[in-house]
Amino acid sequence: MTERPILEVSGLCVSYGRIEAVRGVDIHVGAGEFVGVIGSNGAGKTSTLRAISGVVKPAAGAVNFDSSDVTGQPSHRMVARGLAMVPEGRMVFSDQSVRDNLVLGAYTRIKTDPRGVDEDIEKTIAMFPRLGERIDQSAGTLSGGEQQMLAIARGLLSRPRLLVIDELSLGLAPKILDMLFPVLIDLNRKGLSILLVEQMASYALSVTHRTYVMENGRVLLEGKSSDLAHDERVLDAYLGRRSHARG
Amino acid sequence: MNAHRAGWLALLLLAAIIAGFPWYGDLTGERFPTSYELRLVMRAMIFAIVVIGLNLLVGLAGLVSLGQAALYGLGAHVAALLSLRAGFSFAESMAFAILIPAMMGAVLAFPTVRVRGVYLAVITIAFGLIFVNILREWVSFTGGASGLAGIPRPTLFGEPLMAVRRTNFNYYYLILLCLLLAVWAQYAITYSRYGRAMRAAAQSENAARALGINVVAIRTMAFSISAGFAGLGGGLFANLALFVNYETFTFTTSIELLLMVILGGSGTMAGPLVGTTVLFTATQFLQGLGQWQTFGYGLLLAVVLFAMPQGIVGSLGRLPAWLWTKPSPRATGGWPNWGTGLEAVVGRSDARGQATLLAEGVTLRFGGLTAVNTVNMEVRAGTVHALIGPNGAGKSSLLNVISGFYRATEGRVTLFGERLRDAPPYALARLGVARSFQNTELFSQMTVLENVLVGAHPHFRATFAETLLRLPRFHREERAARAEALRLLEFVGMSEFADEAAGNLPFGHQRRLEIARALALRPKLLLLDEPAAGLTHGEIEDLIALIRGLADRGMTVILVEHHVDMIMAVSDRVTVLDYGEVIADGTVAEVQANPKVIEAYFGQGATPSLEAAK
Amino acid sequence: MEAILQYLLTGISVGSVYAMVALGFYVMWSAAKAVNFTYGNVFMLGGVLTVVLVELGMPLLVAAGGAIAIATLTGAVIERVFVRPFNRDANAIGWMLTTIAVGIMMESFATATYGPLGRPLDTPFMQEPLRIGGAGIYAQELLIPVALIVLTFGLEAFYRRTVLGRALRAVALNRTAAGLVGIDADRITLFAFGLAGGIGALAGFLIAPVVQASSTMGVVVGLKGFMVAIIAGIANAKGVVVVGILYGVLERFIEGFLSSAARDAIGFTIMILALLLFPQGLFGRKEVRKV
Repeated sequence: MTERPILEVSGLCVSYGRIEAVRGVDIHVGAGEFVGVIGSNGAGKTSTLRAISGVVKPAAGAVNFDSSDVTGQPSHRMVARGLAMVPEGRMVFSDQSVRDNLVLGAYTRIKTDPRGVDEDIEKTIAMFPRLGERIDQSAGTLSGGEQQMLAIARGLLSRPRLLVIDELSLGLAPKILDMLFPVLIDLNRKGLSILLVEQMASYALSVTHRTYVMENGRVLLEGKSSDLAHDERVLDAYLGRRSHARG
Repeated sequence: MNAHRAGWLALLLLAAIIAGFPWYGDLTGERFPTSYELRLVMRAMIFAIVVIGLNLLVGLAGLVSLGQAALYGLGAHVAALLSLRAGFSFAESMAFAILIPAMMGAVLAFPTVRVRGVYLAVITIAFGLIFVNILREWVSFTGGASGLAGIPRPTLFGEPLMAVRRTNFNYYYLILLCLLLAVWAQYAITYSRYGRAMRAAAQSENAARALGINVVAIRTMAFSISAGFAGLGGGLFANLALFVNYETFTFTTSIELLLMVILGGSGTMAGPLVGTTVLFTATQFLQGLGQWQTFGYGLLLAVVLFAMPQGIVGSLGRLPAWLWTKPSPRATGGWPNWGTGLEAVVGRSDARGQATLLAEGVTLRFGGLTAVNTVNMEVRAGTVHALIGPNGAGKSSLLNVISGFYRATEGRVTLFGERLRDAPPYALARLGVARSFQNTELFSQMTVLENVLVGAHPHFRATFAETLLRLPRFHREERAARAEALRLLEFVGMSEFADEAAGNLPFGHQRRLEIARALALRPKLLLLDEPAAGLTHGEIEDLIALIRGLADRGMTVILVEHHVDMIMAVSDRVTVLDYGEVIADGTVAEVQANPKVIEAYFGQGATPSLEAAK
Repeated sequence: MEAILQYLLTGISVGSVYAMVALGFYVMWSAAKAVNFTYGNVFMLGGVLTVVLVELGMPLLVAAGGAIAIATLTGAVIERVFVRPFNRDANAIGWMLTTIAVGIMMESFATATYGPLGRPLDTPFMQEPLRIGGAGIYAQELLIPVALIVLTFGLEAFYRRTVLGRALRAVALNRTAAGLVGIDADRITLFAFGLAGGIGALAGFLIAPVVQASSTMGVVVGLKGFMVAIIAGIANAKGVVVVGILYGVLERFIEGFLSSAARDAIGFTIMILALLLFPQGLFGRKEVRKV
């Protein structure tokens, strides 16, 4: 990769009160790369993402996105710059229709490009036909899996260059995940950079190019996902001694 | 401990200064203080008594009353009317001046069953307005705007109670005595299971209910005590002024009282005294401002809220920690530690093999949605029973029915051989049902040790009077509970964190603390709602050892979990739910081999390979 | 019969004022889960400033526009300075106290400068009472319900059809999620408080000719408006309007048939009881308590 990475995080620290959730994390995502961050829930993955996407302000360190320093920028500015986040727990606007959720996903460009937004809504419906069937239903009536689709679609409508996903698998049955991951892989193939935080390490390692393993607020390991999947240290700490069989 | 001692010393000093104040002029030869100044100090002390009561309500129970002046006024009017119209003695009328507002407080607490926060604030304001409206309009009874004048001078043991500097000012000391008793009561309540229960109910209502605290009762108690203090202040005021009318007890006074609490530092011991002193003094100065007095008042309130939202005492209290303590990494011990002394915790179990829990035809509907559908389940004593199923299968709902948080629409639940009809969570907790929560519900502003102590709440037998007077039984129980709490912290490897605020703990530690707290209840049945979520694999191994260890020592555990590995490793029996219905029930091996389970849980047929998609 | 009609008409009129104030609370609450607790004083600004500006020689409508603009600004400033910094935690009540402080300052400032007494405001609709089925009512009093209806439908359309309105609803539901789609939640909240300020001032201006504008006109109306909003289930605009009007009518009937002295005591008692019976509000959606 000779290009400058689209996202560069260096020395990132995040604190809540006196508790340091993230202590000096370096992460980068190259243009067009699909990067995973795995580790248990207390490891600081979500805090790292929240600092990158501007939901919380980092205590120290720098975030560089698309060749400019964006450290401490609030999330709504990050969206305008081309970084969209699919948050943990989906957070769809449950009292509004699926279509209105999608329109709000395009909030930053709806005034300047209404026609483009309409086209993009059609595209995301083609990607997730289930959303098309429920386009006028209120988002709160969707199932967990459908809400996750909506959250991804909503994120895509801002036309991001980097999509950041937090805990895709949370509360979702494996069969839904088997449907969602191929979509992400496809999006990535079409050029979208993706940073995926995922607790279910086996999934993340099987779909991403490169993976960071976090523990205790730090990056423990980093490497090609295919290598890490066979790394004893990862297996010990995260997948357990037994093979993590699914099904 | 040292901070405690310093606090008592400061109080002693303050008491000495107030006691000596009337004699200041005798030392210096000035004509100061006169009766006027004495009365000012007496009024300030009366305010302090009312403010201490309000501090218990706001600072401990987390309930904001904006109608406290009405309770204060109620006490004043009860005392005035009883001595004016019914010829009651001072002591008798004072007793009613405390009792009637306390009862009114209990009535006023009723809304807290349903509403809190801003809703409650509005209700208390409305109460205050109604009170003033009645006083103003019911002229024949309360004298309306001209008030009740000519209250007879009070006497106690045949002595007239006076407030005149040159002849007799024994009433001054009576009020001082009341103030000191109020300070003591505040201390005794705060540092007891009652105070802990009030704070617990304020910080996480659900967790408090699950730990055997009757939240309604504890809030009613807080309201009632606080109103009793207000009534005491009111009674003392009526007997000092010998005249009352509604103008003293308006909304403005309620704000003033609340401001004193906030200014001093709500929830702190010294806050009410400091807040009252500062604000009362400031008010004397503001009186010279004429029309702008009220403006200055609002400004002062705003400035305090901006400059020190924790109040004077609260802000000063943080200073030392901020100056000297640096966050030091502390070692977490391994867990579980099966040391000695845990027998009491697990010693309450049912006889092995008996059905601890029997659910028959349990159905739970929310509106049109059926979350749990005619579920039959039997959980035997001393086993680990897992409840699994895809997301939204109704596992947590069923758990909430078992622990009393939801009321089953149909069907029956039998626990420990007793048929339960709509028992509330706190009653079930007292029977021996403990639980953890999916998203951990700790009392975040209480220390780790205090969190565990709340779990021991139902085991205390000392009465409120014993607690207030600090009689031997109180000390004995408190010591025993503390020792057991420390053992439980040792058990989960968190002794080093005992004095840390629970909210500052990392996630994994919060889970451990929640389990320790649940065990403090000495449960027979432990319900764990996704205890492994957010733990590392290493920690999960430890959790498995803990659950197994508890079950081997006779405790019954119901486990809701996603982690298949963990379920397979730890469970004796597994019930599988899908769309609210039981689709399988049996041993781990049986369930694993059940095709229905495989389809519901792992998808139809073979899992499509993601490698192929890649 | 005539008396009943009379109470009904004046009740609807005064109830419309409560409803407008309650709508303002609704707008603030839905955006911030906090309100200007002494919003009644913004309502007061609408009346008092219009009188002041008219006395300075401005035409009525210009003066009203000016008053509403100033109140809008005031609402926004209160949000920025006194609500936002105190609304960080979920159950924070700091904003309640800070806005009470502002309210005390606003009211005492008005009393000190404008004077403690009410002053009349002349409008063409207060010349001669209209006769409707034997009941007498000023056109000004009928104007208020009309304004309320326009306002209610306008708000509804705004929330449902415009991107800004949808953004407001998104902020109301989940600020973090709103930020993640690019909505500046803080700006939206500021806007909501400004909007509420304007609504309150409009109500104050409309009622001023009927009751005279005074520095103390807002306190009790503000409180009643808030109770109305809460009893209606604060997240429901239509419910807020209905309950507001009902409360106005109820008040007039209490005055007429029982006692005007006990009006507030009885009215507030009924409101407290209603809140106890329907803690989610009459029109609020029942939330399943999450465990």
